[in-house]
Amino acid sequence: MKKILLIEPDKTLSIVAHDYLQGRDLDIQIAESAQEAVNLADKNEPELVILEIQLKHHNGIDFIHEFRSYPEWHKIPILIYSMIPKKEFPLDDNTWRQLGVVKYLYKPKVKLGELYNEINEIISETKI
Amino acid sequence: MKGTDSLVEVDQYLLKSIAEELRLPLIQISRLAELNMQNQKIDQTDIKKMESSADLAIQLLESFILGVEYSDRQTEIELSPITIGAVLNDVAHQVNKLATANNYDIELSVKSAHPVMGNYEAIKMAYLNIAHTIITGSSKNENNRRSSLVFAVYNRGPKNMAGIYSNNLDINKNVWEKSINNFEKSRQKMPEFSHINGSGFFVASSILEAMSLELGPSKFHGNKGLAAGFPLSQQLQLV
Repeated sequence: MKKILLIEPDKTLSIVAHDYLQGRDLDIQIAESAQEAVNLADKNEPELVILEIQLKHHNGIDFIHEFRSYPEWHKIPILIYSMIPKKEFPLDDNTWRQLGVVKYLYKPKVKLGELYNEINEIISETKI
Repeated sequence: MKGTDSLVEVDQYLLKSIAEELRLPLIQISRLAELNMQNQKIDQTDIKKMESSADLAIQLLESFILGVEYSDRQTEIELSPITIGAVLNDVAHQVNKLATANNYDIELSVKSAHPVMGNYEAIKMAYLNIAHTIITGSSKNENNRRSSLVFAVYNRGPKNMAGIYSNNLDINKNVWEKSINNFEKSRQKMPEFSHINGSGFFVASSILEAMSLELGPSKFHGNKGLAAGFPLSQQLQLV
């Protein structure tokens, strides 16, 4: 079972995503904040991180920088699944890639089924 | 568009933030429904309806937010060569289930493949709103009578006309102008609809207007609807 860390501040959405993905042979750990995510990553060594960039007390971009500051997590791919559209960030595709963000999905338009497909694609492409 | 302009000027930031806030509970409903569709013990018909209603509301809010951002030039509209027929084809495909559930038969009539300059996603969003509003607004479409929903693209002079039409929609120049002029005063913007106010039409209009395109009443093969004219670019036709 692939270990996935889902960082989602909304309780309802995190539970729903957890139940949907867990039922599809993925091991989902939920963190509601950046600090909780760092603690969980330390304990569980996730193979993929799914991140809502709008976090409590934290900016998701800051979280990515912090996450990447640990050498052992350099290569863990990050999938952003956010309420904020990508166009609101003044970052080009190259910068996202440098941050290790392999995909940016806009939550209002991407359902759980599509999220699951994207996760599978990342798993097969990156061979994690 | 006079009515929506003043609406945007006065309350745009408050309304936009309310719209953004409202998306979360709607997404929760939509995703809960999606999760529960895996549970065979729950009545799937009700769950599908719940998901569809939440998705329509999210779509309307997303479009409204986009319209406000465009009107206020908060977001730059990136234009590229597109085929308007492809956009309508995409929209027709996306609304197919909803249309069928509401006794509409979809027809596509794309007579022009000339490229025009536009923003694919924004135009798609505008036409999705028009289609959704026609389908859900005319749910008086009862007694299992089938109605048609026609997605048409054709040339008229130097323009590519793209519209959505129905034999179940009675809209004309007077009705459209009256709706716009009474936008702020009237609760029921479109007299055609009994249980919705037709906001989807006006949201679509504001998105298209931001690209200097005018949405208006139009007729196609005896059906009435709304269409916009996309100027044909001679340079693009040479490509």
